[in-house]
Amino acid sequence: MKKKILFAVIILAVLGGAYGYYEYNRPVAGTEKKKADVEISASDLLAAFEADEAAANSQYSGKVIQVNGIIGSMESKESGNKISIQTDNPMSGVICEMEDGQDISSLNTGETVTVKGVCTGFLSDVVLVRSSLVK
Amino acid sequence: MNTKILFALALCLCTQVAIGQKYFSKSGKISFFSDTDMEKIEAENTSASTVIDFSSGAIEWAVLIQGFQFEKALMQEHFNENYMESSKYPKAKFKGVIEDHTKVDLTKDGTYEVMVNGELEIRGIKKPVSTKAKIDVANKMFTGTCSFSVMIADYGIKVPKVVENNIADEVDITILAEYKPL
Repeated sequence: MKKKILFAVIILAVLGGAYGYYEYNRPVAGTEKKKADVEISASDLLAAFEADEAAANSQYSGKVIQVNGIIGSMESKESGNKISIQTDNPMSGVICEMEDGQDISSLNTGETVTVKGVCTGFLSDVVLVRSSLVK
Repeated sequence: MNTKILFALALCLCTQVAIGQKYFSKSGKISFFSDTDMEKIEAENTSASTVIDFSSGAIEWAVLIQGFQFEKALMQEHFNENYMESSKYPKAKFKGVIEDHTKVDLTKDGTYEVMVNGELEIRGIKKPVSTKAKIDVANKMFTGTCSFSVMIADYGIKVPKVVENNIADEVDITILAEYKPL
């Protein structure tokens, strides 16, 4: 009996340790396989932040947002690829930091694009991180 | 009549110069590094925004806290939820002045060392920051770089006893931006 209890305790400790180790090393999840919490146009997303930033933050920040719009500009650097989606405001857009491995080389400025990413808030533009291309 | 035209022309030129003195970037890179024997923690944000006005030397930075990317998900969650409270304080900001901005000649390629003084706001708490920075001018464009460190206690960040050996009291911050004319 005692042996059985000891055995059970050891198994639990090993499982607990393994879970802890897994949790500790768990990488930040990408958005490619995640379902979007919200689908919205780039212009509407920006307008929400411009109208009431605090309300838009609680509604969108930290969530997976799927946006569509016209590509205003793109940049590729060693720190990663970015797509900036145009909005009705010529000074501001939705900046999408693309996840590593997301190929944007086939895209062109002026094309319509749909991207999903985690919204981090609003500076002069709305920013999405770990973004992936939907179409 | 001629003087009026001349005056108008001069005015146009002046405004152009004034406009030509503001530079910005929306892809500023801010990274930080906490180094202890127990653990090295680093994170990077590549969408900080910044503006420099060379007529006054004024410089501003703003960054979204949730945009800092960590390698490990748990670190990122703790950073946002426990330490930075990013849903309550979504941004960090810096407002300051490049004291010796007049020595930077944007028409002449080269590296200029400057002194920046200002206020850094994290978690709604403002503290003075004074640091050296570097401006690298090449082909009428320039890159600004700077590193300094902050004491996390200055910004009211409390570290629980269990992990106090994992998180440094002083965190090193590195910033970089390639500025374009506004």
